[in-house]
Amino acid sequence: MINNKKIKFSKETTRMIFVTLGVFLVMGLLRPHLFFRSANFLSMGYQLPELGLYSLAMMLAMLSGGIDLSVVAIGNLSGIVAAKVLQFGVANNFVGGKLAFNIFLAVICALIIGVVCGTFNGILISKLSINPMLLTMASSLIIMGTSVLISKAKSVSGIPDCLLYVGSHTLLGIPYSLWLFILVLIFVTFLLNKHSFGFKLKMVGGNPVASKYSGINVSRIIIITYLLSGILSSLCGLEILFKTNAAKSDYASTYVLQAILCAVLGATDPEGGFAKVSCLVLSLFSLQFLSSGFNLLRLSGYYKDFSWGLLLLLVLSIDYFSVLIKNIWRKFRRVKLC
Amino acid sequence: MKLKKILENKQLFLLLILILIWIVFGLVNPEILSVASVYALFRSSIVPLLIALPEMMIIIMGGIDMVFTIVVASSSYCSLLFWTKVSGVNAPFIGILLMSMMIGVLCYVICWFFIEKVKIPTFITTLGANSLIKGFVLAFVGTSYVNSLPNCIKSINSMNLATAKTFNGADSILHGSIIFVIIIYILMYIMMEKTVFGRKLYAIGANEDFARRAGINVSKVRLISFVIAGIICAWAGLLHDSLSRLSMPIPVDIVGKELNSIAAVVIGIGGSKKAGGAVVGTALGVLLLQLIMTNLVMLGVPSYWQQLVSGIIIMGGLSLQTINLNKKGNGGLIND
Repeated sequence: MINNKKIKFSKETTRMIFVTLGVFLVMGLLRPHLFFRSANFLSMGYQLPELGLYSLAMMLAMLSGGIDLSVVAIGNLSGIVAAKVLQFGVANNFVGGKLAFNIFLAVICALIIGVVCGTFNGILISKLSINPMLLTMASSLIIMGTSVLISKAKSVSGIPDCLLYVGSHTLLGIPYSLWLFILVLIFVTFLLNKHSFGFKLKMVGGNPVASKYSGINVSRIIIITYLLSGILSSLCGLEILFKTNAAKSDYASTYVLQAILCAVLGATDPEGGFAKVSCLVLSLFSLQFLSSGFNLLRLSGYYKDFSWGLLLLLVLSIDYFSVLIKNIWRKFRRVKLC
Repeated sequence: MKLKKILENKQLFLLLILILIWIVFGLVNPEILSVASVYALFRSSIVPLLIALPEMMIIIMGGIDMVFTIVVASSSYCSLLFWTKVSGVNAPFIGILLMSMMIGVLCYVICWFFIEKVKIPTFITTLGANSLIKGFVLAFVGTSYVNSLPNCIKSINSMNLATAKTFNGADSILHGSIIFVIIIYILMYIMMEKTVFGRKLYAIGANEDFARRAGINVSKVRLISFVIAGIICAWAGLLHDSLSRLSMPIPVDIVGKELNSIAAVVIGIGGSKKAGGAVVGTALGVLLLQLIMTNLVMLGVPSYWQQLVSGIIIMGGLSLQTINLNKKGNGGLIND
């Protein structure tokens, strides 16, 4: 049997595919001999997971109709705690089973931080119904304050070599961190599209009152969402720790803005209720192409800020401008016919 | 009966909390109660008081503004950079003021276009505009500091009303521009509470659709309030630069500290969805946060703890206000 059905993309996906292709071609053609090289794509592969994990965490929170501005703070705190645990192991020259247990303990500690912070956010948002944006801003201050307190505002470094190997090497040509990101992506896609939790989450984001009356436990869904967002953030903190051998309380604080940008660019409705993982990945690619391209052009990072802000506003206003142009065209034709 | 009335008036309640915290701090370190310390508090809250006003207007209209800090920074920086290049230290004050006001208004009008015409939520628009304007100023305008400010801007810095001695003999100065800030607050109070325009802002914040159906031209009201916001941002930027004696493209004490203003406004407005008291509340909220943040050092709190302590205080204020609000069943403070 031959399947004659054409693959149909939704409007959002088509739009994102065009944007991504456009950015890819423009950036590629400006520096073709540097851009189209395997080394360039490999370095992009190392850079993608950080922003990708934070954007996924942000996307989940946005899907529930809220926002999570504490993702980076949670990631940094988990990184610092894990690094402290690993430092203890390195200082005592653990090998073999002890080392494995030490690493296991560090990962568990980091994930517990994510769970605790995420649940804290979720409970306050759902039970006290504080505005998520304000609450997560305040909780990110508290979490960052805690990590300043633990790390004494210095960067914590010195983790076992085997973890550094994981952070800076590839498996089948793909960095380990990217494998982690792919696994998380598959998990989130499954959760959102094939599991009842994803359906309920979309309902809650779309209309909390209606979903409450149709028997969905709204506060439970919101708590689980922020918990997942916390876990993803702490995974990202671990990934950064393994890659850079350091964790710091104010590392990459601009990622909050970029994660929002990436999620909104990837067709996530900031009012809640709609998100597409495929669009998110495409927007991640386009942002990465932009930043790598600007690096290859030897332009300063300020151009990146500028172009990202412009891209966000323009992509969100594509519909507006297309209608505008259509109307003008129609008027123009009418004048001609007369 | 009377006590209940005081507790119901959020702004009076906030004033009581402010005085209480001030006295408690004073018991730990008597110097905080001195006149010199009050002067210092006023001086450090001049700029925060001003930049809280645009945020207040936009929060009342039911959105959250993330662009005001970068407008404050870039409007004064661009204008000062231009005028010092053109005519050095003798640049005319009117020219500097007009140019920075124009830049401030332009930034806000761009935001207004995307919010009102393209229908992107306020938070997302202003966040994108924040990144856009920051990148634009740093990439295309300049990154160098303006060290030699024009004389007219410098002279603002030396406007002193009164001086007082601190305990160790140093001078603490009551800065003249506090009068300017008070005048702006009085004007804003009249605008928000006594004019039809202010009532319209509260109406839009309560429910935009209903306001539209009641015959309010939402788009026009929002444009006017954004223009006012841009003008106040430009003034705040010039004052900030003259107080810190140089102009930076991205001053770290403003850009990235959006939360402080937002928290001050939210704590100040509090649950009063009864449409009133926002201006007084904002002033009290800013003063409260500044009192706590500037005096943590004098209380002997180690510097590592300060971020955590200020975070807990902001969180506590937010939670208390929101719980009060929910008790009355007035719905959320912010619509976005």
